Amino acid sequence: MKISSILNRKVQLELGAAVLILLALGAISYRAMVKASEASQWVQHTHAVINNLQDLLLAMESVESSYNGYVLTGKESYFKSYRASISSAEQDVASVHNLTLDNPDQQRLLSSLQRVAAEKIQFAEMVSGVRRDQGFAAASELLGHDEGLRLMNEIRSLTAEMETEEKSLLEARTAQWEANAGRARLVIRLGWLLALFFLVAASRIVYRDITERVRTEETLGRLAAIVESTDDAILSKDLEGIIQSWNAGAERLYGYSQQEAVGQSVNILVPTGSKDANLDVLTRMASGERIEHYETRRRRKDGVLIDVSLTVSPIKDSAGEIIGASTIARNITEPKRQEAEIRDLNRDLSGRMADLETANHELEAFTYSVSHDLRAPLRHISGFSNILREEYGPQLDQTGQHYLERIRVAATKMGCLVDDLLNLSRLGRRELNRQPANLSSLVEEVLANLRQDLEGRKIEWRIAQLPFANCDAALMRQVFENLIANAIKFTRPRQPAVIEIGQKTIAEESVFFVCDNGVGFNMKYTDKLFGVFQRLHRAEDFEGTGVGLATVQRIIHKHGGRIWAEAELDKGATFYFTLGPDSRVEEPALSAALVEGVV
Amino acid sequence: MSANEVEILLVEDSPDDAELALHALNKENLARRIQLVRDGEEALDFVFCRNAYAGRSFDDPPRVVLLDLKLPKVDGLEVLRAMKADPRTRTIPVVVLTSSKEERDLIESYHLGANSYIQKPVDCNQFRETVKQLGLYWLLANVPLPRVSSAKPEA
Repeated sequence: MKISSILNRKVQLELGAAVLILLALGAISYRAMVKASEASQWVQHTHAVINNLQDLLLAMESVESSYNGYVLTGKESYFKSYRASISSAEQDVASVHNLTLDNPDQQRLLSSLQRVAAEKIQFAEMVSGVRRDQGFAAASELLGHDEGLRLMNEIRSLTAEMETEEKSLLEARTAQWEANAGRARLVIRLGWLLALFFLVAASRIVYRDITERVRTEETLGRLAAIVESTDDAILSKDLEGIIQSWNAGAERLYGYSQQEAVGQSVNILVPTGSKDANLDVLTRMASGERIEHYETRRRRKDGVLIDVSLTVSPIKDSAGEIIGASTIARNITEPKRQEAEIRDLNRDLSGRMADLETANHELEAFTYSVSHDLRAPLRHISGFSNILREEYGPQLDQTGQHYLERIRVAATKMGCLVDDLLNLSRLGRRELNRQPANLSSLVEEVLANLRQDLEGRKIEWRIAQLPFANCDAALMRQVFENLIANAIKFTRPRQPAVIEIGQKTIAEESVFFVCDNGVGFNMKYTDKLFGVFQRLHRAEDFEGTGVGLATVQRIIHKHGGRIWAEAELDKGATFYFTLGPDSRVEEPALSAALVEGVV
Repeated sequence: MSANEVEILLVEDSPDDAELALHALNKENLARRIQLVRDGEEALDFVFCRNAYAGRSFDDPPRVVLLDLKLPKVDGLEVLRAMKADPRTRTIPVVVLTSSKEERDLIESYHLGANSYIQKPVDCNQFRETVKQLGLYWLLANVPLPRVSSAKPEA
């Protein structure tokens, strides 16, 4: 609006200038016309003067010839013609006198001419008188003195002088007029050019202005289309909170049509109880404060409350004064609800996690307590049955002795079970103590401890070099102990047994394995493999408590790794495990560990 | 025979365990006099010569205390703490003899000043062997603190 008014002013100035110039040109033209007409009058005037002078000259010559005729002939007709010529000459003198009243030089010459003409007439009167009174001879003698000729020549000379004067005046006036006319032409041409320039300039501005208006209108149209087509509710309000505009999104979001909303206070959208906040925002914004995007609640026409995210921006007039605000609102009821749902789920989950943790702790405490309390009676059974056998053995027959032995073995076995359970329960509560460890040395130590159980066995060991791993060495020793002991146990029927211990990289992950050619197991029981007290073999065939692999799995899981097995009945079994991403030993840490002799 | 001849104070609430231990010790003929107390309170009465044991003297401490941890009234660790905190009883060797192999029990016991920590074996032969070794060690091999300069009351 501001730009356009500037344009208008400029256009007005230029058009005004053009009009003024044209008016001035009109004036100048008029004046030039007047001057031209004046000049033509002067030309006529000059011609009139010259004509009268020539008439005067003719009249004087007629005077001359008529009195000469009278002298020669004495006829009165000449004398009459003489009189007529005189009066004609007098008229001519009077005309010239009138025509040259403005010119003192011509008046002076005219009076000389009058004087000479008078002399001539006086002479003519005298000669005429002599002819009438004294006759031809006396008169002809007077004529012979050439006085008449002299006067006549003087008249001719004066007339010519006056003509010349009048002509030179005409020339001067003509030159003056032509100069004026030339200037006027130049001024008029320049004026036209200037007016044309202003007109062109004004029309260019007008054209530009129109183009701009068209473009602005196009832009406005596009923006209006965007405003109308968006899903967001866009509305504007004045500083009193009266709605000024209302798009289709607003109608969809709030339920009020444009006709219903425009002119109303925005408070129709505000749930009861928070009206102040809305006006507060307007007040703050009017004072120049920048309003950050915020979330609030709004009430639809049907009374339903919705959560909206609002962006409020000031609307300014051309002078930069804040005159209202635009509000863009987006319905966030659904995201809000989902957020709340997620929050609730998370709370539930943490609650359940806490419950689970508590349950786990309780379970471990229970396991510990049960195991602990179970050990004592076992010890007593074992102890007293032993005393019975030693001190009262002789009084028992062989069957009695056998039963006693069965009691003792059963008690011992249960003791082992309880010990394994205790061990497992302790693992649950123990913190990992990760250090870079040489797994090869670990395996060697384990093998050294197991050698004593290998008497009479023929085992082909295939042991690869194992890498360093960042792990709890004591626990990893137990892992290898259990897995290798299992391999030894379940290859008992093999001659020779083949046990392989190694490591390979599968999908960028370091995988350790213990492989044997033992009795294996059916893969359909693989999910029972790592369960506590779960056994896949009969106790008569292979002894065991069913806690060993559960313990191994627990240790591996504590390290963040995985354990699984592949087996085939009567062909052998392979146990694989990983130690998780934290077990990787970086080169510098390894070197440091080697220097310090940690591993 | 007077109370001052006590060589082993056995603190054990389980009669079965007590009987087995006594049986093993008797079998080896190691202890001439063993005092059995059945809870922590009685154990403290005994070592601090009070109440039922007021007649005893601090000058005649037992050669060794075999202490179970799970005890009625006052538990074993409390007994240990009280004994090791008092200068009159601090020098009496205490062997923790318990079913528990819990790390926290072990750590707590040693921190409180236990002289040894033994888990009761389930196997009766092992148990008997352990008790025998204990007797041999504390009553025969170990040289006790000389009696005269032993923990007299400082006050």
